[in-house]
Amino acid sequence: MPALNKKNLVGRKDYGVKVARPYYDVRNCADNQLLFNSGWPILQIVGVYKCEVVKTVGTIPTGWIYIRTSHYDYDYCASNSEMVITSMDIDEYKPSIVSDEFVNVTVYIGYRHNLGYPPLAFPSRKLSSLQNHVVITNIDISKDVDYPYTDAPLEYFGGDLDYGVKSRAYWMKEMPKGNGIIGYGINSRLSSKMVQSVKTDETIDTSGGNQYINWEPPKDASGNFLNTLADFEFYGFGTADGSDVYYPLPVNYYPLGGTAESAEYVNVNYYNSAASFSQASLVVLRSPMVSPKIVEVTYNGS
Amino acid sequence: MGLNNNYGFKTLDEDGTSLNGKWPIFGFDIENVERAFRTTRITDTSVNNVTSIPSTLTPVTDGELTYTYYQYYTDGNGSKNSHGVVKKLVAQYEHGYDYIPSGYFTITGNMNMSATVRVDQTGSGTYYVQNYYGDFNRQGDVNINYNKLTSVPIYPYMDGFYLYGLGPMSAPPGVSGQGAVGQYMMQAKIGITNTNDIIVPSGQNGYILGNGYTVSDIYDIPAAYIDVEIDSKYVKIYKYYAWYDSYVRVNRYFTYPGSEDMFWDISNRIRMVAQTTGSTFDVNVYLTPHKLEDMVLNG
Repeated sequence: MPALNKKNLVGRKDYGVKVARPYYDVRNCADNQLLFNSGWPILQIVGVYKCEVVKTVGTIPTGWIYIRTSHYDYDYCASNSEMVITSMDIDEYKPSIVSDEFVNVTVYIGYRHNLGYPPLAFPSRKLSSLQNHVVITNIDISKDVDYPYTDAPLEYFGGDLDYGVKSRAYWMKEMPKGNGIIGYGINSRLSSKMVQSVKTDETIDTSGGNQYINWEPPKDASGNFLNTLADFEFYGFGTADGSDVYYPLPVNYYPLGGTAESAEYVNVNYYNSAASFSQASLVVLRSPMVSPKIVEVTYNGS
Repeated sequence: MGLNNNYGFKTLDEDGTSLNGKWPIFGFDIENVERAFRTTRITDTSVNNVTSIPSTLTPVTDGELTYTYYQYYTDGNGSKNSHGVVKKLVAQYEHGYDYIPSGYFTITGNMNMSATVRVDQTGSGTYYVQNYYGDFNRQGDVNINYNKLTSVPIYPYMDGFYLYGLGPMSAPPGVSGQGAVGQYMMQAKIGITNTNDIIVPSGQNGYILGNGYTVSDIYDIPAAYIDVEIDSKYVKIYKYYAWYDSYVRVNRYFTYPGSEDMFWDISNRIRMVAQTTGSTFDVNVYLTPHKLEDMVLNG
């Protein structure tokens, strides 16, 4: 077992706004019996922005093309305190009937957000049919933190949800009307993924020469895992020497027994002898407090 | 960022993130959890048919749609190879919105990767053997755990996906001569315990299929992956798998260790299709009611 990053646990916020699920008492219910808690580190969308081209790597030949971006660039955004960068949507492979050849061309696009922190952001095409935009969240990937909200998701048992907290989203000119779900900022009917941890190189345990960010799921008082790795999403980032831009890094999984059902730990190797990284980050998102509907399908190929 | 922000509420926190009432929660509608946050638990019992690849080396048509990229390559000997990807609909359900919502999916579970390979040898001369050893399978089970944003092609490393062939230097029954021995070297052995490599002749060069290579290494395409598409009505879960078809002619000399200057005209065909039989995985689709097009601040 490697040296885990030191904890940076924030306390439960005993103030703010809480909304309980139908039939539960907000004064004494568990986290997974709440609809909303203003203390939860939930994902919010700070803004959606159209991007401009910042850089092109490679040359597109005439005739036929197979354009491919780096695997990680295509999936994620890179960001610093001023800008978010991703890669442009590109046409699919167009084969030649004469010969086959693969050409790597990457067009980088970006938006200058000037938020003052490097946010967790996503290419818009990964979330919708909107292309060449970025979706910026409220998560600061450079700030090390661990949250205490570890309850497993709870099934929704029904009940009227026309109560709680609502606010108008930034693009709406007036408050939405009726019992719809569109156009709200805060709406206790919306259940979000939450941040479980953001681990940076600031809390790396360097004893024994360890140079990796290492994180494991929370444990109970007896030392048993409360979750499996499958209950989380992991995003790894690292900055190259002399740069403050957090680029995607691979996250390595080390489950017990070789399956995600047996949680052990994940790590981000931010130290690369070929190109050492000066800063690193592992963002861990956890499932919402409401569990999904599970449908079982057997696919036989027909 | 523009708009009037003198409303709503904020939490003031010294640690972590601050809540802001005008920023939309990136979440799903609890009242419609059956559609907005659904896990489709898939048990894959499908077996892809390696012989469905047509002899004319055009893309397979047994899938819902043959993906657009395939190669067709011909060398001076008349060898041809082709590969492509088949797209199959695995599951779908209605999401309940009358527009395309935003969202993403993650995959958790195990993807068992293997391939079915069929080797056929023909020859123009006396010494040839057709489909001597028939089909064989090399199973490579890889446990893959992915929690990533939307479409992720799974590039498993199939440890030891080989075509094994070279064994004891004895000719098969009824066949004799140096040519037969040479042909034997090209024949595949059935079984997964063989540790020798096969050399598929392609002109002067022996092309070693296997030896740690995977379909994705050779042709830069993933052997199999899952993707989710969302339209104005449905969430659709697709599986993609790769196929490969190589028809190799040798009408020049073929070398193998210990022997030189062997001449014959021989052909072999290697067909391969990726399998994901026995995989069990969850496709967790997470939809928000937000239309990103309405949320652009600098559009």
